[in-house]
Amino acid sequence: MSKEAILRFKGATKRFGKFTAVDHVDLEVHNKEIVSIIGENGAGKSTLCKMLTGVYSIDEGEMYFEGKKVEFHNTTESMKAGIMMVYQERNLVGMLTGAQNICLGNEPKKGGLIQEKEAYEKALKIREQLHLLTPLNIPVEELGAGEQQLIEIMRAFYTNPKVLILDEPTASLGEGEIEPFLSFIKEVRDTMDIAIIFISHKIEELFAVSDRIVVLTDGKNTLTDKVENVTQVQVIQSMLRTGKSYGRIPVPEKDFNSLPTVLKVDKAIYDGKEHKLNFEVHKGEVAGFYGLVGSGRTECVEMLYGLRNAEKSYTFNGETITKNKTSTMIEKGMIVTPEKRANGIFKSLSLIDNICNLFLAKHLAGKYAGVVNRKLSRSFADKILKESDVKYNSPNQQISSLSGGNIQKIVIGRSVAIDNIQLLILDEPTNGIDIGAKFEIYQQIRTLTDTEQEEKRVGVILISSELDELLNVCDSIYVFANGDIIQGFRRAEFNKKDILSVAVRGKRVNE
Amino acid sequence: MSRENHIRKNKGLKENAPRFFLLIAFIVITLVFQIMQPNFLNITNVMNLLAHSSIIGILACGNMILMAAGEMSFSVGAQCTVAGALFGWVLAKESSNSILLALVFAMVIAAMIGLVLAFFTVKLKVPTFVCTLAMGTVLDGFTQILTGGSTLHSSNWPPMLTIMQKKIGGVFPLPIIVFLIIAVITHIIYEKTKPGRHLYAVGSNPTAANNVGISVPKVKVWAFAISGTFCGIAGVTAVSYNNSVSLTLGGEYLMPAIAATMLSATFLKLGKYNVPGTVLAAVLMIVIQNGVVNAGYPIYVKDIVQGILLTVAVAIIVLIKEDGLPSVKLEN
Repeated sequence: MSKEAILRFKGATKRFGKFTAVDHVDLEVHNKEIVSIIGENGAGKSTLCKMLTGVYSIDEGEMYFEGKKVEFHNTTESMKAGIMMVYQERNLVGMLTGAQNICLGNEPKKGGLIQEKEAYEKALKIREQLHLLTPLNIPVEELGAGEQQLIEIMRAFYTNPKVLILDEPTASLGEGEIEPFLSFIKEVRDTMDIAIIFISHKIEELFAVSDRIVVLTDGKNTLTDKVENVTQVQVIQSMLRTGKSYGRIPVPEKDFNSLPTVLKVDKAIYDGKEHKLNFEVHKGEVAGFYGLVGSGRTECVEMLYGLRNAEKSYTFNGETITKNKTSTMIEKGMIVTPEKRANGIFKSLSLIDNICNLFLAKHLAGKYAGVVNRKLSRSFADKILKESDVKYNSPNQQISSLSGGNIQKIVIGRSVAIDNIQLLILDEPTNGIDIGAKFEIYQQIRTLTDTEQEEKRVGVILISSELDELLNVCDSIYVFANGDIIQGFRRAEFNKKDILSVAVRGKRVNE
Repeated sequence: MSRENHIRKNKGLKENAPRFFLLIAFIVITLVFQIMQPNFLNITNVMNLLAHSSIIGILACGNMILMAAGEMSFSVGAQCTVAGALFGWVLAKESSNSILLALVFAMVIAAMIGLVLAFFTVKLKVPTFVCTLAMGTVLDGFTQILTGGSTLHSSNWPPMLTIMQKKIGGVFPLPIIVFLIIAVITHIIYEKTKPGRHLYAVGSNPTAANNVGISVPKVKVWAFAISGTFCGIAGVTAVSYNNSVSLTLGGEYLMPAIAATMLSATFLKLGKYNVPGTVLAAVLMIVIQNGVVNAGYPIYVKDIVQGILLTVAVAIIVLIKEDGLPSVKLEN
């Protein structure tokens, strides 16, 4: 590049313990340029931004700003230098007006009093510069999501930024709001002296808006090029992970058409939208849910499990369900292990209590006044701990003293112990546990679906952001985007590139 | 998306009525008492009412600053009493009966109590609820030590001590003036200055505040210190007005002070604590107390009325504001 870069990373690296989140990344951003950073969940996009703004320190490598080597220790320092970040979540104070929010932290004052008029005029000037019409004199809580977004961008311009980082700026926007927003960003690039870093995982958006695309995969920079030099396919290809060696899990071939269907879903209305959720799970099948953050996998499960208000009608175990409560779903034989392991356990309680609390209503607290039968609980817990192959010292030890993998085994083990288990839904069960433990969890899952006693086989839905994991364990994969299931793949059709492409483009690939 | 002018939502009666809930409640309750006892609104009783509500009001203003910053204290009553007791205790000593010295002493300690609370809640992250509840008990104990376990009054007290019993122009008791000054200053700081704006930002969206470079812990520490000082002012004013240190002072003031702050969020700016609302609510609390007693009902009837009023008011806010109040955040 001929011009001097405003911002330059050279070999930037960030480690968290043994895990390298950002691995020797080079990045250059120039004036009047939109650079997009794309990558799967956990590819290191957010970490990279936090390094730019000084939230994280840089473990290795250098950062240059306007040609000078710099080191930011906190956001105040980076903001002073001219690096402004607009966060994914809204950061406004609801009862204050647009102008008051724009000036927040830097209010013009005279004699100790805030000069509201001056603040309003300053905000108005920014609004004019950006050719916007968002009202600035009413509380921002009365504005829509798109306008609140614009207020935040105006706030970034309050201090004449040189670099503007937009973290998933379209995530909170409605469908009709995205296109005008993108053309607004391009207009900003053309009319202002500014470099823009645009983070997203929606590939079409990036091609519409960027000058240059940077792909991160497992913290590594796998592609950097001008947008006109690359195709969407190339970008998707470089997003593919090299595939960590998991050890293949044996997955027996089954003819699912002849097996009973546990769950059949067509569509449902929730969050004010109709969602196409065309999928089914059979007895003995592991169905994987793949999608990027915010693609609606968890929401779909919450709808099925009675945690999310919805207008729905689906078939579970031969029964049509239109209204449900979590407790009745458990009775019917559906159970979910939550995304955050911490939400599935009582941290300070013992293994016995953690296992047995789910069953107190039934056989463990006898008929009389619901007094818990310790002896029965103990033997029940022992049985589950043994079946799930948990490594522990005593069933009375606190559950939080176990490793993540062992906790997850307990959660799965006790979940499938419910009477009449038909369908187990696992939301990101291997998040944050090491590879060895992951493998054991895969085995535990496959045992549930492939056990020799056919009548004991269950259906499993496995939600994961790790595509390799799903390709390894599942019989079928359903890809989510924008709240809908876009396409389903059977094991014979599994193709990493196709699946990833469906997730980032939100469109079917042709079989 | 915003290429066309935003049309402000047309607010109907349904949305506007709650903004005057407090005022309507105030007028109705006052009228009921006036009908029950025609002497209720005579000048002597009104001034008496206002003087009493001044002490609650000062306390509530300090409490409002704290609650606006997203914290909540159950020790404001005890803080107020201990400051009053310190003031009386210093003056009771023959060697140190300078009003000024006693005043400064009481204020410094009051502010320091606020800082101690800040240390535990902001620095050590002990839940404010537990911390202030415990602090309240500790301070009540200290008050007992200072007063010898009974109402404190000393013949050593200089005549100046009862200055708050004086009436300006023979009509306005001095506490009203103190209260007015404090209310106006608080209002200006809270609504018009940078620290006030930051206070509110920290209470209603700490993440946003942090992201624009406002130091959330620093703002909270200041809020604790200022609310502590306000407790001190209220305590000293109460001692001066009553010419004694009563042990039950704090207990009597805690609930009305917190209620007054909460109720303020049902006045004018729904969901935002504000000084005019706090002032109105503080007076209302005393109107209820005074009215109940004058009408010959047992004193505990006022607890029932005050409690119901507070519950209804907070329910109104919860129904209207989806995200709740600073310091009373609602999940989901």
